Amino acid sequence: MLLVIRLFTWQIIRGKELSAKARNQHEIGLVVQAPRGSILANDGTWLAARGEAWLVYASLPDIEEDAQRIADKIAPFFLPEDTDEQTLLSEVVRITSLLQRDDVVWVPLKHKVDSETKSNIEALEIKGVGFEPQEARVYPESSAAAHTLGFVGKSEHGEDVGYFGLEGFYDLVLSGKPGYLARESDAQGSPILFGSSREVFAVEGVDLMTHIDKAMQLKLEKRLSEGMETYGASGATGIIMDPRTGAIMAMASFPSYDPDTYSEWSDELFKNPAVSDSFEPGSIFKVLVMAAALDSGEVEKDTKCDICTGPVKVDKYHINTWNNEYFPDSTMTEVIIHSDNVGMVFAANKLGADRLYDYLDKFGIGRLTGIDLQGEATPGLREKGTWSVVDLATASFGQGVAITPIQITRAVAAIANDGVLVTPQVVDRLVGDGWEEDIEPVLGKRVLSVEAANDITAMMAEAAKLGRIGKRADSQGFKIAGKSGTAQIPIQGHYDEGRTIASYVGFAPYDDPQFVMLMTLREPTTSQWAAETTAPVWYGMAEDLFLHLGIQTGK
Amino acid sequence: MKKLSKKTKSKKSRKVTYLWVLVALFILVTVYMTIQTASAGAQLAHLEDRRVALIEENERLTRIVMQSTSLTKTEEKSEDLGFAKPQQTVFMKAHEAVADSAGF
Repeated sequence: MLLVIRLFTWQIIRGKELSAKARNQHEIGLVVQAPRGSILANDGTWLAARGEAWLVYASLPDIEEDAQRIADKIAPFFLPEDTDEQTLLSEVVRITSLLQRDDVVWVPLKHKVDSETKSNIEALEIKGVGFEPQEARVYPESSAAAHTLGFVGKSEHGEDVGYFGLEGFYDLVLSGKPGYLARESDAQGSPILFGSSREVFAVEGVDLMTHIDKAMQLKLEKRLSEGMETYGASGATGIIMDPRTGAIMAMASFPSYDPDTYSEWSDELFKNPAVSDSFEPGSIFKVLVMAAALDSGEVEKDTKCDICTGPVKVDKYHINTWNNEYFPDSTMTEVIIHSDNVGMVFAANKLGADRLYDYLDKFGIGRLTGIDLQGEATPGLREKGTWSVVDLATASFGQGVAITPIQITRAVAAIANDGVLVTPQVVDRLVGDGWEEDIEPVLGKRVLSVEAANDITAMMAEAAKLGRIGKRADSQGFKIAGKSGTAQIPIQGHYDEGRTIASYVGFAPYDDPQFVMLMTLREPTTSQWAAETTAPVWYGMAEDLFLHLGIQTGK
Repeated sequence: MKKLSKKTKSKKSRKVTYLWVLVALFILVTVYMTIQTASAGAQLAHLEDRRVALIEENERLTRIVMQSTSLTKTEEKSEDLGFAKPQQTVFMKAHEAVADSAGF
C-alpha cells in the first residue's frame, strides 16, 4: 500500500517536476557565439580584429574566502598600474559588494580582461572565481583611423554593438548571428547520438576589406598632427580619395581618440569631423562656382571681369579682395589664380542664383554623400528661390554656405573625374567564409561637361603654381591642380577675423588624376592663411603620395 | 496418444529454447548498440573539443600574424632593424643614365 502511495506521489503528483529535473540533467542548451568580423586594410592586414578576452566571474556558493580579502587580491589586476589609491579603494568596494550579494548565485566581476590578467588571477587559486571566454576588439595600429573605424560598445541588453564609422554602419554584417544547440548528453557530458538534438548554426560575422591604404593612413595622420603642432592649430582633417571610383584611401581627423579605450574619452570625439562637421569653405569653394559658370556657358576661361577694378557694392555691403589688390579686366583664369572675390561675384552674377543652386545641388552640396560610415550629416543648402543678392555674392567665394569635408572632396573629385560625380566608399568588398562580395563603385550623374572640367582643371593647375611651395612643386614636375581657401569662422552672427579654417584641396596628376586630397587646419595661430599653413602640409603629403603610388613627375 | 504428447512437448520446449536464444541475442545486440552509441558520443565530444582547440589555435596564430603585420609596431622597431627614412627623393625618367644624374 505504501509502495503504491509512493509511486502515485512520484509519478502523478510530482511527475512533471521530477521529469523536468531529469531533463535538465541530460539536456543541454547553449548559445553558440558568432565571432565578429574583422576590418581589413586594402592589403588584407588588420585595422580592427577580434581578440582574446575573459569574463571574470564568481560562483558565490563556491566562495570560501572572505569577500574583502578576495577583493583586495584581485582589484589591482583590474586597474592600470599607475592607478591612484582612491580609485583602487573604489574598485575593492565594488568587488566586495558583488561578492556579498545573497540574491544571486553567480556574478560577473569584470568583463574583457586580457589573458595576462587571467593568468595572474588564476595563479592566486581563489576558489569560486572562474573565467569565461569573451570576444574583445583589437586594434593593431592603435588609434589609427579611429574615426573611420568607430568602436564596439555595449547595447542596453549588454550585447556587443558597433558605434560610429564602419563598426556602426556595418554592425549587422560584422556581428553575424549567434546559433543555438540543444541536445541530450550523458553523465560525462558526451552527446547521446540517438537522443533529441536541435541545432541552429551560428553565422559568423563577415570581414570588411576596405580601400584604406595603411601606409597612406599612417602618413596622413603623421602629417596632420605635425601640421597642427607646427602651425598651432586646434584641429585638422584630411581625406584622400580616388576620384575615379570614390575609394577612400585615407581619412583622419584630430583631435582623435583610442577606440580600444573609448569609454575613457569624451563623447564629442567619437563623431567623425570629416563626415559630420560642417564649415564655411572659403576660397576652395570658388572652383565649384567657376566650374558651374564655365559649364553653363555664361563665361569662358578668357572672359574679362569688368567689375574687378575695385570693391564691388552688393546691396548695402562692399565685397573686397582678400588682400585689397585689384586686377582690372582679369580673365576668369586670373580670377581663380588671384582668388579674386570680386571676380567671383562677377561670375556668380552671370550664372544667377537659381542656376548656381542647381549646380551646387548636382555637386551634392546640401545632400548626404552616401559614404558608408555611420554618423554622416549635412547642413542644408539655402532653399532655391530664397537667395538674396548678398547670398549669391558671398556663396561665390565660399562664405554663407556650409559644407562637410567629404562633400567638398567629392565635388572636386567630380572635376578630376571629367565632370562625373562618384559616391565615396570605404569598403571594397565583404569577405566571408569561402565567399566574397564586391561592392561596386557607384558612379553618379555628370555634373560638368568634359570641356568645363578640363577648363577648371587648367585654372586650378595655374593657381597651384602660385607661392613658394607651388612653384617648387611645379619646377620638380609635380602636376598638381589645387586651390587654397581661408574662411573666417562665424561666431554668434558675425565673423571672427582672427579665427580661420585654412584648407587646401587638389588632385594630381592633373592629366590623369590618381588622388584627390583635402586638408583643413582649424584655427592655425602662426598665420591665418591656408597658403602659409595647410598648403605646405598638403604638398608634403602629395610628395609622399607620388612616391607611394608610383606616379611619375612631369620632368 | 502418449507418443503424440511426447512429440508435442519436445516441439514446445524447442520453441521456447529458440525464443530464449532470440531474446538473449536481442539483449546482447541492445547492449552492444548502447555501448557503441555511448563510445560514439564520447568520440563526438572528443572531436568537438579538438575542433574548439584547433579554432583557438588558429585564432592564436592569427593574432601573431596580426601583430607582426602591424605597420605601427614595425615603425617603432625600424630604427633598431637598421631602416632609415630617405632624406631626398630624385625622380628620374627611365632613359636617363644614372651616372648623368649623379653629375659625373
